[in-house]
Amino acid sequence: MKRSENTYDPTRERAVLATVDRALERGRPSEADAGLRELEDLALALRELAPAPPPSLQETLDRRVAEGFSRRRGVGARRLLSPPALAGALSLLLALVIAVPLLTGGPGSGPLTVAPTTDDEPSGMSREAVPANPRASGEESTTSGSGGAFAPGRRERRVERTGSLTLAAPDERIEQVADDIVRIVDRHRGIVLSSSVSTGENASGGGTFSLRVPIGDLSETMRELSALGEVRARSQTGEDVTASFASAGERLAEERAERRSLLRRLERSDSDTEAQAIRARLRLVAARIRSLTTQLRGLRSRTDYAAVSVSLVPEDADSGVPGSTDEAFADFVDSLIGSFNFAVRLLGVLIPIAVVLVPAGFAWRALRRRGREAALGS
Amino acid sequence: MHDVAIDAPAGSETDRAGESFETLYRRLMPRVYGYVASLLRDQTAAEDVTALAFERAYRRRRSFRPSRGTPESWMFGIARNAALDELRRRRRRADVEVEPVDLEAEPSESAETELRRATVRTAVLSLSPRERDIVALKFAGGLSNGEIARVLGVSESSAGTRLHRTIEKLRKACHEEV
Repeated sequence: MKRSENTYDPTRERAVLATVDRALERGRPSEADAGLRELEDLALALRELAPAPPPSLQETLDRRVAEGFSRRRGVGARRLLSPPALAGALSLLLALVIAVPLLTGGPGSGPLTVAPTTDDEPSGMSREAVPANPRASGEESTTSGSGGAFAPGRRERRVERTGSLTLAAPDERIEQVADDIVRIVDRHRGIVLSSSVSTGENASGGGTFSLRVPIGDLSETMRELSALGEVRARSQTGEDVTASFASAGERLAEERAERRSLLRRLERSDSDTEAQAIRARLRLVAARIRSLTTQLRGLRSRTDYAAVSVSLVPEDADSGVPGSTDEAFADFVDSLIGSFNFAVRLLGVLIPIAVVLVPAGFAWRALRRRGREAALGS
Repeated sequence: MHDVAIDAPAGSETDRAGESFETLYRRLMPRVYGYVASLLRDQTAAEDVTALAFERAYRRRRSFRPSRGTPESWMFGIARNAALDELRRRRRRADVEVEPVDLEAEPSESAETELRRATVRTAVLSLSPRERDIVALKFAGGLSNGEIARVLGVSESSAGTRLHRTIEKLRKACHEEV
């Protein structure tokens, strides 16, 4: 290769480019120097070679520009199927999948805190459902579950039900409402398992009631109780325990059959040693029968009677009515903390997505640019 | 900072910040077509790509930022992308394209002019597609070296050097033709 082709001469480069620009600006050659004039001629000839748009294109484009390029059919759909649009849609979907459980506090959250239950509980009377957030005015929820196995095919279902109610009443009416609660439970042949009512001038009144209501009367009882005051929270749960009930019944029948068999063998026993062994087994079987009988009784009790807990609170407590400046300030701080928590959760979703999407976007643009440039060859 | 210059809808007068899209279109359409036709060397494709480029520009007119270049570099960037997409789609290179009709010499022109055009045309055909791209941006598109740099995504000095080398190559090719 010749030396002149590889040598970079910035002065000459500037002179050549300036001559070209001058010629294009003036539209005619003006240099006296033959070399520069040749350059001007070349520049002007190159410009003259540029094709002019045909009149038909001009007319069509004029019309389309005047119409504001009304969208052609199919263009929108193609745009929706473009890689960036699809990536955006997928990201949005991903964000929703991640964000919804996070921002709503997770699948386990809710107004109810239900104590776990086991089939070995001696009695269903310990099962309670209490509102997790009794401040939430008018909150109501209903949940139900089958507890795993559901014993298909059985016509008679055994369902354990619980109810929870938070009532607000004026301080001076607390006692009256407490009496009404007992009266309603009596009318429905229910049981007041425990109750605690406090009234007085020095302390704000209130009360708690642990009730058992016949399962068939639960809805009606809850409705009547709700009418006694302002409902702050209300919930009902149901759990199908038919499978546990059936299983315990079958095991009890088996144990009883074994006891009968052992008793027959005891009658026929020939020696003291054999009789003693059979008696020992009979004692074990008897213990299992007692346990299963207790379990069945507990299940029957829990499915015959619904456990209802009622909290009675004075009307001005936690009612959300604006009170003192201290309360307002506390609410302000609570709101701030809530907003901050929400923002943190939101960032927890957005930052990982951005960490993936932003480099991916740059990479996609770089690849597209490289692909386009490749059309010109090396 | 909202520094949009091409913000007015087609058919309207100039907006508060700059020229309307219609003004831009009228000013640049012949140059954009000249550039695209020089690059694609196919009249039908050049018409389609020019129309597509202006449609894209119209839809994206609010994304134009004067701080990132002139309207010319913005418009020619869109046109170049559309032309390269067309080249890629058709899977053919600019150097195997047929010559556009417009490049043919006018019958009424003098023999000397016709000869000069033919010489330059032949010299241009000897260039690589990338060199033809920069020549088309400069002479058909009428862009300044700074605008060419914006369109190509390189520095102004780099664009100037590329252009200078291509001009020198063209001049040499013209000498060889003569």
